[in-house]
Amino acid sequence: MSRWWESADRRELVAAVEALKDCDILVASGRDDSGRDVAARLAARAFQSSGRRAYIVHCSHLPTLRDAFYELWAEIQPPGSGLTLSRAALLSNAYQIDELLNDIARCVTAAPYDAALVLETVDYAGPIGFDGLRWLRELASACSIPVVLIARTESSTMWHHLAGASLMHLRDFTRSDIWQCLLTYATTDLTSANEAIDRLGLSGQDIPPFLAYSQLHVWQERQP
Amino acid sequence: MIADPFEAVASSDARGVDLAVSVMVSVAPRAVTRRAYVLSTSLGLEFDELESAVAATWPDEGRRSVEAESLALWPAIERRGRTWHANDAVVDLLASHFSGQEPEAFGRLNSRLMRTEIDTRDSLVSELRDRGEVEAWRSGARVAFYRAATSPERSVKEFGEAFSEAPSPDVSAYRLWVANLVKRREPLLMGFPRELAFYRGFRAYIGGDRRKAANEFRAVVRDAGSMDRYRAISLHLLAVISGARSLSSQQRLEESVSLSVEMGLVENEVMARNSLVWSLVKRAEARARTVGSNRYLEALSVASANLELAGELGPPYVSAAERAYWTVKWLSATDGRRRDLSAAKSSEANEFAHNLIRIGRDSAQADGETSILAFNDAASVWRDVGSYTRAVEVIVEVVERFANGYWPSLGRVAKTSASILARSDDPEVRAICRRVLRMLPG
Repeated sequence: MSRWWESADRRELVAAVEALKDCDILVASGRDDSGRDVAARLAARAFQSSGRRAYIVHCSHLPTLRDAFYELWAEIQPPGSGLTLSRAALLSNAYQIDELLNDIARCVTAAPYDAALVLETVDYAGPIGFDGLRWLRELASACSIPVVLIARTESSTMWHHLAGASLMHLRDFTRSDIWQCLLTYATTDLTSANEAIDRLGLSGQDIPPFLAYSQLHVWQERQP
Repeated sequence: MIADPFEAVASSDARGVDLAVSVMVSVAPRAVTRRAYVLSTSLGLEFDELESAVAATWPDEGRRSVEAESLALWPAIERRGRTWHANDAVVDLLASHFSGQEPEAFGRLNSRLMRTEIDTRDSLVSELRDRGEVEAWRSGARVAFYRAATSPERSVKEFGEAFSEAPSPDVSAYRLWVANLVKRREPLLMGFPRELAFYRGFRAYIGGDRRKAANEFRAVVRDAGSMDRYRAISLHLLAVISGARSLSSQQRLEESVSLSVEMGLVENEVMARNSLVWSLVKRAEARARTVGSNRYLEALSVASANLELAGELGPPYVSAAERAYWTVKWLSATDGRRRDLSAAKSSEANEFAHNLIRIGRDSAQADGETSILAFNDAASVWRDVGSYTRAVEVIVEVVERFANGYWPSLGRVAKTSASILARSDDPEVRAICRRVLRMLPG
């Protein structure tokens, strides 16, 4: 069993991630049904295949950007270093955001490998304000790593104001995308792929990615 | 073997993600559906917690009847680091299916999750305040979330408390988080339309949809008999949306302040009073200058009282209140004359400008907009007394700090630069102003 259906068309995203250089930021925004979690995984995989160690921070359950930075900070601590900063201390006024960003940068630049960062649904709770956009810019620059921000279209963050970031949309799929994906599944032939698309309700032109993932998975589960 | 997905599609009228949920509920093994239901109702669980919750909700369910790896293959279910969640696309649909299909299990699960959260909150509260405060506050909001299934009235009350007591420094972000939790519980809280309207309004306000926000806030304040925190905050935000100049805005702000005083809502009192200061300034500016009277005295009196109170709340409130105080004090000292001031006023300008620069530096990292405005006010003070070199030094500092990002308030810095350019004869000052104007919007 695998998540082979995740390969349904996200080639634009993967190509954009592969083209990122240090300090670059890519914002890929999509609706709630656009499969943002899958996009984050694909971005991390693209980084890994280009020799980088990718950190993913899942922001969907975090109330603030400061929480996301804390998660990242805790994640990148070298093994055995022991956490010197508690979440509560960070979340209070005592610990300033610039100190935290510097700490993260110190850890990242000291690591013996090239790193990359994926923040999944970074604006889940609501639009990121101008201060938050600046912190994200500073994070990428201070760490000197490429950063992918998977964003939520519904939150209306003004990403075009994030200096130097490239923006892309996680678009819906077409029947052709689904068909190509089915053909990568080893046991599928052309006839059964066509039949599966129609009978799974995936024959429209604008297929929400989540619907595609979900239907292809239940179909896979039925395969002998 | 699962049921036939083709048959499930053929027998469903649903479309889009509704179809995905309908098919999944029809064809997935019961063990998977139950876990998806639990995750749609929770705010994230580790795998062991998920298994315990399933076992407690359905005593007939065997432990570990589905392995984590196999569960993670289902698109409706997400593993985010250590915790498991329902996918954002279907979380509300799954919760709705669950509460509709198995209301007793839904109630049992919420009660269990709520009890666990209460234990967590109590243990955090008993820790030292500086260590557990934010986590305990969050836990309290999660208690309100779970309680919605069994005791909506108490849940609404707890949500309101969580909203009011959102901790610094990210007050608005935390409040939005509470408002998002309420959104997920809307189907269970339909008996409280006014409160729901408030949270919808707040989400729209933060999201920049001012028209929707105003409509929702109007619904909140329509009933003049409901004197509560929702009314106090809605009046303030309605006034901000409507613009500072109108009389109705001023009246709303005054009512918001007095209601906040009555109810002990110190944060809203400070924020509403700060908005009232700027509303009074706008109205004063619109009045003609008359000999023997000072148009800004009322605004200064309000700003002065607010500064004292803001001191109790901490940095984000203090910076905004302090900026208002020093700027309005300058306007009052000069009665709004922005040029041709006496020599005595020039010597006073030093204190005003230095205080505003300090505020700008102190708030630069955490509150860029307030910082830019404070720097700009300092530059304006120097400009007013003809110290153009000092004014452009401040402008250069604000540009170096902020010009590589987007900040709406930089437009005001551009206006100040343009006014200095129009007044100064110094070639060096003029060259700097031109350079700044090329860099800034507006």
